[in-house]
Amino acid sequence: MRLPAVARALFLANAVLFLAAQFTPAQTLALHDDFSAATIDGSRWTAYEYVARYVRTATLDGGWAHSSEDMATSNPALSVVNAHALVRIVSGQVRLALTTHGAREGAGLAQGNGRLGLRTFGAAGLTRMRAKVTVTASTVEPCDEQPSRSRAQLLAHFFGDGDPAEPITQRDVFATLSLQRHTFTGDRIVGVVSRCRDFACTVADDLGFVEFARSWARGAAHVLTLTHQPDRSRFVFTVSGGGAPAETRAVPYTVPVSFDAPRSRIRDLLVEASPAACASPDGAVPRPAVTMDARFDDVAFDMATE
Amino acid sequence: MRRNRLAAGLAALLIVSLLLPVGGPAQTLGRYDDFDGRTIDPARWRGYEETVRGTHARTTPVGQYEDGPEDKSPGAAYSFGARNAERRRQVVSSQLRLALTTWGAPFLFYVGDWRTLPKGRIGVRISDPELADHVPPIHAMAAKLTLTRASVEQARPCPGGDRPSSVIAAGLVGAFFNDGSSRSRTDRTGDVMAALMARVTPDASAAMSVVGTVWRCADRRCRLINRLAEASFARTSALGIPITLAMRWQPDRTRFLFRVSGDDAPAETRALAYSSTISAGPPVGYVYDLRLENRPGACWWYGSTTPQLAVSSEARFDNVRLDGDAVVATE
Repeated sequence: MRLPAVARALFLANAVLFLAAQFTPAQTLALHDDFSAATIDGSRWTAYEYVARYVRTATLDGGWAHSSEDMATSNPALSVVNAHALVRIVSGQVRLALTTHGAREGAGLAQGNGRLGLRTFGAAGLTRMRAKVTVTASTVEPCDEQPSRSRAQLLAHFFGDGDPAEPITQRDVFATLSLQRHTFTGDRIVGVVSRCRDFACTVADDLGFVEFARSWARGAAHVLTLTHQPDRSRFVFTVSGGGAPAETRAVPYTVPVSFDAPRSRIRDLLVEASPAACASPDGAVPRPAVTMDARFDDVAFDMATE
Repeated sequence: MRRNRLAAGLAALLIVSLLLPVGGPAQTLGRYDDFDGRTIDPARWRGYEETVRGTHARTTPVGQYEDGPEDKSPGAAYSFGARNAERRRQVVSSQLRLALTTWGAPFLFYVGDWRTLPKGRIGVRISDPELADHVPPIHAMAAKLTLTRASVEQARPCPGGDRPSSVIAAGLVGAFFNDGSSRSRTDRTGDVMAALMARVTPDASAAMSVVGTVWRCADRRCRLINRLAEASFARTSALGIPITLAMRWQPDRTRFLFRVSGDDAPAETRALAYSSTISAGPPVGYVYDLRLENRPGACWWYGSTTPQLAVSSEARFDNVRLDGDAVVATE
């Protein structure tokens, strides 16, 4: 009996996928932490919080500010403000919650960010990072027509671009995968590949990004995976869970891998709040609030095999 | 030339600790925040957390100590300081609640090489733009403080059996004037700062002491400081008991005045006076903080990359008051 055409096509497709899987280089995704202890393990993680330095849009020249602000000398009218912050273990997951308010006089300034995260340092050769992420609450108040944005994010540095003969020229390339809420565009999943503009990474430029077709659901666990494929000069982003089919998207890059080891070997779980900047010099308009409350679990890394 | 100038400035700021009765003309403080709202008011405060490296005897100039925050931005290659973990910064029952767990830093090796050990902080900093230009200036701060938790957890015993001494502190911090050493709007060199902190050493005792300190920023970002003076109070208290901390810079009398009251004990005052021929200008830093700080102890020797101590603390702040003129300017 001959199989119907559709069934034959499905059979062939499955066979191809099965064979492809057999020839994929063996990779071991090793669990780093499932947060099953009552408290955060300080030998594995360090928690951090800062606000990204405000910068005049013109000086960024298409990039975005990536360094922390000096809170002792910066003008608070021009800065975003972190207020409520919480880091703790809840039900076998780590909970990160942050409320950040926008600048009072934000005209002409690039949008500032408040960031709260959990960081681990690793050896060079990271190829894959995976974690389960659940957003439990998020608000993104606008200021007039200025939008706000919040993100629950995985971030890792993978390699460096620059002149290998001069280490000071190294510019790290890093990738982020985020569950994002935006005042006007709603809930999106976004993967971004970026490069530090200088050694200290005070400014970053995006090399490429992708918006997923699917969205995410509040209160549901999503498995986020970001993979570096240096042999194909691309990053692959995958999101599954949350009541929608899994989706995988790739972002290629064209910069050379001049340094196999990134200068900064950070792997972060973080929440980021990017409030709208009001133009209210007298403070009559309240600073808009952006909150992100998310839980992270089952963090795993995969290292390149020599 | 510059070094000579700085040295001369530092010498002129020699401070002596004096036991004084409650002194100074009566000056009115106004209410800045009593945390009656449901959340931290971003028009009044901005939250922060920091870790500070230890002071290594061989790499830090004599007389200077690490006090500034490590860079936490993604460009930072590594963290050598203490490691902050769990934290809370929120309004609870009309009080500001600060809670923090800090792990000791890895890579300390011989503790004897370190003048100070790494520490972690969490806090809120006054953020009202109306006071950022120091007109009117903030000369006085006061707040009610309740230190509710101070504990230390040692992951494993020290190899030599010694007992690490951790310190937890909570209280007020402020930058009050610059001694003329600053060269720009962002150069904090010469900023003179003061703090009034309740302190507990949980390894040794649950008793809470109070200490007033004065220091001077030794570089642009105040990463390094010169300690100028310290005054310990005779009174002690205990966890869970509210006390009121107040400190005031009195430029006309070239001194700082620290006062502690509450806990059904007589109020106590200490003064740290300085003789200075330098006319004090406004500070560069806009730093007036409610702060909680953990300094995990360390074994005399260890070569492990695993931190050994986790220190946890929690404090409540309420009824924050400033100079009346400053409060009026923010209304």
